[in-house]
Amino acid sequence: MSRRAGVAASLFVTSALAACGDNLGPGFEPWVLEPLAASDGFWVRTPEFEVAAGAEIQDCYFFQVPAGATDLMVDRLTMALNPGSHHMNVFRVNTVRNLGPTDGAPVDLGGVQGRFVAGGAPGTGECWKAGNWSDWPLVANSQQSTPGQPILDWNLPDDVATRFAPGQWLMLQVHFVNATTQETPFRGRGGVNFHLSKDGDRQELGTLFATQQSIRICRSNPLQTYSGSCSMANGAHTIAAANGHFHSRGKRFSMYAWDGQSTERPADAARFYQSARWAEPDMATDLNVAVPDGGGIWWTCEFEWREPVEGCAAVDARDPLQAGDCCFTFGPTVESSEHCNAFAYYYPKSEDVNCF
Amino acid sequence: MFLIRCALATILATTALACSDDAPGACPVGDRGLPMELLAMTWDARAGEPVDLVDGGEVVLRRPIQGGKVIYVGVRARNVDGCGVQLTGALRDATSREVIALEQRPVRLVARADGWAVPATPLEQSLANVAACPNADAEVDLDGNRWELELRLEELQGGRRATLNLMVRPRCPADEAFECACECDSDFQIGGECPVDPGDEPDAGVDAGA
Repeated sequence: MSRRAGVAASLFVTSALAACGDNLGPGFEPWVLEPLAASDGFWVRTPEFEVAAGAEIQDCYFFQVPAGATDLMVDRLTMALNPGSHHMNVFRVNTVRNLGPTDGAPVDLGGVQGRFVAGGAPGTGECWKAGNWSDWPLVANSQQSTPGQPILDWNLPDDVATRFAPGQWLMLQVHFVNATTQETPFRGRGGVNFHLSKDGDRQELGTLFATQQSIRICRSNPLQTYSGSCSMANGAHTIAAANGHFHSRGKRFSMYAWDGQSTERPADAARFYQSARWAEPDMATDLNVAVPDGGGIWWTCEFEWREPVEGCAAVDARDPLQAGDCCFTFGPTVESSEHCNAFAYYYPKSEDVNCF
Repeated sequence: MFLIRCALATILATTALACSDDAPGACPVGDRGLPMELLAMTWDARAGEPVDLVDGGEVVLRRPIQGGKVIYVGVRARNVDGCGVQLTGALRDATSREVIALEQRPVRLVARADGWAVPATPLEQSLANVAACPNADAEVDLDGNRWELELRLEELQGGRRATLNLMVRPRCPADEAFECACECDSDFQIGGECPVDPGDEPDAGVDAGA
């Protein structure tokens, strides 16, 4: 495979004529991903949904990889989001705790029929609770949803593809925010095309998801930096893509190639990713970062507390300590909590890796 | 065996090259003109106070919010600015020297009557949350085996620092034994079947004898 992200514009069609209902509006051209024939891959589109003023919505859509006799190898992913999305993640369903396909209502996802679990009020429903997918391997993620660039077109490196088993359950999670730190000016919607490899890619893509679960950014101590390391197993690897994720107190997210031996932050020369854009963090898809045997990534989140526009009541309410210091702690809600999550994609796959 | 046997003797106190003792500490404990002293501590997360951790001691693996298993480890210290400090906690395979888990965070230590500065509440913020399980890099089960723990405390202003190393044995708690033994098995893979060790030998597993 030799296609690169630079040809993205030719790979999808944007048209104001598309049937996107209330998404029509000044300054917005609805994105369109072309449906894929079965011979070319599989695809999903969430329904459109309203994101009311002040709302945060996080919903989970379950669907199955098409049936077939052999595993499917995918070497290109196109992921589209309406403006206002905070994230879109795709996971492989594994242990079902309190969230699974059977908990959902039937939903038409375009290319497949699926199941839908609404997140409900922020932080309350099972689609908000990360412990429900703690052992579900990551497939892909996107946080790209600007009006001018709503589609992430990600061609995997030459000879690399991600593997799916026929009938395997996947979960597409979308998070939209229409509040003070992030706005959804139209309606919420997401979609993914999984393009089949047709050139015999031999190396499998592995994923790495790492998170700091215990963070605290308070008014009285506004500058905080958290770091961690996460190793891959069994041999040398190459990191092909990465992005970081935090909320609006996040000032800078950095990732470094790490040798697996040192307890010091790697030198700047080893840094392969940095983003200061919390709402639309860069997704680096053209990486070619060598990681030695036993090594992995070192990631760092730098935070700076700032006064919430809506005041500290909601932030203080979810502080386990009830310190009254407007402390942002770990959590999924953009307005009142913080994250420090690293996503990396590497090959050849040894195993999917979670560090938390 | 290069490792230091006695917790008190494990202290490697060094003043950093770029030390700036003129920089006022916000809450000094002890004499910052002397080398920083450290002792290891750990916390069960379901118990009350952190306790001293001795060489060869057990540390409890606990499930945090999002999943996995962490150990809560940190230090009490003397001759330090307890407010502006950064803690690094790392688990290392003593044979291969590979670091299998590491976390670095700002912490706050508060003065105690005996002259030591101890982790402030909330304890999970003042101790390193070292994400031990699952672990793609571990060649033996995390729980029940001995790992080298490295703890480093560094003043953010001036860079004075001290490091200590000791051996620890992570342990799955009884109330999370099944899940913990599964996730901490070196053969556990995200998305795969659980190879949890059978019967009454939760730490034996496929790595028995390792």
